[in-house]
Formats: sequence, C-alpha cells, structure tokens
Amino acid sequence: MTDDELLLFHLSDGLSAERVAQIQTALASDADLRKRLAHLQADLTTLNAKADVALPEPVQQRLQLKLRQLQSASMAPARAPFWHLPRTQSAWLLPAFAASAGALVMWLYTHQGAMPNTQPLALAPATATSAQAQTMSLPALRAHLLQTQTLLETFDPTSSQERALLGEIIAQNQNYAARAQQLGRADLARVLRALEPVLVEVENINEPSARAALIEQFEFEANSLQTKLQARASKQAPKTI
Amino acid sequence: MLLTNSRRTPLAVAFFAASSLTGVAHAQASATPVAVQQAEQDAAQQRDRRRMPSDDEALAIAALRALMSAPPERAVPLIERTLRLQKSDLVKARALFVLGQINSQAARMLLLKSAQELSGRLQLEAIRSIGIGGDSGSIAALPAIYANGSPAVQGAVLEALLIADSKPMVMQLALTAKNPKQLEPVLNTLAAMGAVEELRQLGARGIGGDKLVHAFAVAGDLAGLLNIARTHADSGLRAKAIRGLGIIGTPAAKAAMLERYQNAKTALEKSAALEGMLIANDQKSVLTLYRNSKTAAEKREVFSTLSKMGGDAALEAIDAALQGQTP
Repeated sequence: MTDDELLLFHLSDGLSAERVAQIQTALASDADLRKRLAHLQADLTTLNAKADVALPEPVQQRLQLKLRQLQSASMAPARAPFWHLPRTQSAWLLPAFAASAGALVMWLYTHQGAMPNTQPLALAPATATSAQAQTMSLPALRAHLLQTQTLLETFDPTSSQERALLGEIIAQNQNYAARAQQLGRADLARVLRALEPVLVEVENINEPSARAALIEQFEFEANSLQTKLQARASKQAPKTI
Repeated sequence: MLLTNSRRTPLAVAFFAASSLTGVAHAQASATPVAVQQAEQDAAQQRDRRRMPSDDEALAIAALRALMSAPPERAVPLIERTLRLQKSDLVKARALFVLGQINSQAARMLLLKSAQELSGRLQLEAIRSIGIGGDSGSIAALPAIYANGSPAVQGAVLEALLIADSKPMVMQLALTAKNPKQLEPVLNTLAAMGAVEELRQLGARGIGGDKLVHAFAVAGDLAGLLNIARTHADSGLRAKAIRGLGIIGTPAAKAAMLERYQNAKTALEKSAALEGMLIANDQKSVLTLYRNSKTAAEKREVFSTLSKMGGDAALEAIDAALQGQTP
C-alpha cells in the first residue's frame, strides 16, 4: 500500500469504496500501517499549520500541466458561455482529480523538497463515492484554494481549456460551499459563496488590469479564510470540519 | 474532492457579478439626470474597484489580513480607525471584509453602521461583508437598507442574502416587491439559492408570472416546471416551461421534453420542446424525433434543430438525408 493511497484514504478522496474498505481492514490489523498513516496525518497537520505554502514555480507549472492533461483527457468541450448546463458525471470527476493533485503536490513537496521536473505525479483513479464525500478535510479545502490561486496567477482568458478549467473550479467551489453548509460550517460556506462571483468575473472579464485586480481581491479573501482556518486549527483538531 | 452536486447555478451569481456592484444598467435605463449621475458614480466606483493596490495600499492590506488572527478587542479599534482615517477606498473595502470575519458585537455593530451610513462602493462592500459574516441580527436589518437603496444597493443586499443563504429574507423581499422589474432579480436570487419551496409558494399566490418559470428552471424544479407544462391554461407559459426543462437537462428532464413534444397541443409547444433539447444538447432525442417524423415539414424542423446541434447524430442525419434515406 503506497503513501499516496493512504493520503487519499485520509482525505476521503479518489479511492473506490472497495479500496477504502480494504484499507480500513488492513488498518484494523496492521500496527505499522496505522503508524504510517499517523505520520502522514502529522505531516499534513504540519503543512496545515503553515499559513502560506508557496509552491516553487516548477511545481506550480507541473501542477498546471497535469491539470490540463487531465482536462484534455476527460473534459467535454468548453462550456456554453452564458448559461451553465448541468454537468455530466465525467465532468464532475475532473475536480476530484484536480483536488487530489493539489493535495498530493503539497504533500510531496513538503516530503521531498522541490521535485525533479520529470517526475510524474502519482494519481489514484478518481472514483469518489457519495460516502467518501461525507467529510471535507481542511488540507483538501486549502488545496482547493491554492489550486485556484495557482490557476489564476497565469490565467489566460483566451484559452478555452483554461476557461473550462476555471469553470470546473467554480463548480468545485460551489460543492465545497454546499458541503461546508451541510457539515455545519456556515461561516466557511458563506466565504466560499462570496468568492464565487469574483471567480465568475475573472472568467468573463477581458481587461487585464481589471482581471488582475479581481485576482488580488480573490487572493486577499482566500488567504484571509486560510488565516481563519489556521487560527481555528490551532485551537481544535484540524483534520475535518 | 468529489462532493455533492449543488443546485445553485452560477447563472444568477453571474448576474450579480455583472450588475449588483454597478447598477449601471438599471440607472441608464431610467436616463433621468439623477440616474445618469448615479450611473457615472457607479462607473467610477467600478473603475476604482478594478485596480491593483499601490505599494502603500498593499502594505496596509497585508496588515489588515494579519488582523484576522488578532483578538477582536485589539482588531476592531484598528479597523475603525482605518475606516475613519484611511484615504484609499480599496484599503477600506478590505477592512470591511476583515470586519465581517471578526466574531464580536463591536465588529458587528461597526459593520452594520457602515452599511447604513456609508455610500457608494464602501456601502456595497459593507453589505456584502454582512452577508459573509452571517450575523442574523445584521442580516435582519438588510431589508430596510434594500427598501431605501438604489438599484446597486438593492443588488448588493440580494447578493448578501444569497451569500448568507437567507431564503426567508429573500422571500420577504419577493412578497413586498413593488413591480415586476423589482421582482425579477429577487426571483433570480431565489432560483440561485435553489429555493424551490419558496418559488412554488410564490406561484401559488400568482406572483411572478413568466419570470417564475425561468426561476423554476434555474432552481432545477423539474416537478414544478412539468406541472406548468402539462396543466397551465396559457399555452405560451406551457411552452416556456417546456423550454425550461432544457436548462435542467437531467435525464428525467430530457425524457419529459420528449414526452411533451409527442403530446404537444400546439406547434408552439413542439418548437419549445425542440429548443429545450437544443439547450440540453439532447441529440439522441432529436434524432429519435427525426426518425419518427411523419410529415416533411416536421422532418425539416427537427432536422434544422439537429444541424444546429452538430455532433455525430447530426452528421448521421445529414449523411442519410443526402442519400435520400432516414438514419
């Protein structure tokens, strides 16, 4: 069993129900495996405790490249421009890949330092189930915000792929808001809902300076949210909301 | 993470993003001198909102962010001073956001006072921050601000209520709307919230008319739309409801459109079903209809829809038509 699988198990993401059950069974009987999982959780807690995780440029580039590869492999054509039709199940899988990639990149970076550019990202198949969506880990939410900021920093509105990816991130943001609401974290849900129109404006605005200003606003508000998460995490158990 | 599919659509949110913080369109539509002045002010605010901070402003904004983790009794006086003395509206706007995130009575009171007494962009930011903060007492004060506010302020209040997920408050605004123009953005807000029950209540009271049909569609209320599509006396409204099924676009909605086409009482309803299928990109149903078309006129109309869709089904039909066959 790889660390990546354990990490995905911890994040409740990207593993089939069958695989989750296998890991649960193994954890029940294997003390060493439990210890490995505990180390991983500790690492993530340490990562979570850093207010800002600045990924080095090569890692950011690789993350974006990976997201685009995933997108081109699994995405439908770009969305309709002014009404947002309900998405297919396959389109909904992309954010799961994307969030997993974000979380994994953060974890790998803190474990291995700057990774060689040629090293492929290890991604488990994204077959998340509704049962796995019942929890939302703070590292995953932070990864979502980080991933969004990473995309926005170099966002090219003339690229249909990047617009489609931003559209998926907006949809993912909605999902996080909905889950936060369901899990009783209305405070997080409200901030995420407030961020959505900013992202929609970024997606649709043409003037570069205005777009840069909107991105600055997004970064301020997202970073403020992370500061709040950090403050809460230092007082309480940090894993899940 | 793959999470549950929210019914909230970005459609209404995009509406707010485009209009609530400016109100330009509303003001220009009126074209009175006051409205023109308001539009000019709104445009200036928009320009200021959409600019990058200077170095000094960036430093002040970084300091504000640090206040997020400071004790409220220390942070609130500093923000109050910033709002009073700082010259930059950009910095003040960020200060209002931080204020909305502080959990203290003093912060809530200062934010509400800002929403009530400030003007222009900063008032809009304060209203938004109340929505983000989510304090029920402050949110309860928003309808009064809405009642006396400009279209831009009204848009900001609706956005705040959307952020706060306060369906009862939006419902209250729907019930007290003075005219259809004022009601429409309120309906859009309810739709964006997925407030199906509230929309149905409005429908039962005869409020909303054809705008309500669109709201049902955006809110994803398949049963509500189908009820109108099947039973409403007005054929125009039935057609709008059928078209709205295309916005929902789920397999059940697609099946309903096909059924409505096959049982349509008027040509308008048939055309609406085809338009709905076009919106939902339901090539399979349209191809089925094409194959089953009984008259040349019907075949032409369905073929026209197929060709607008493009895709494999359309090419298959075009190829067959060129060969004088039915695919």
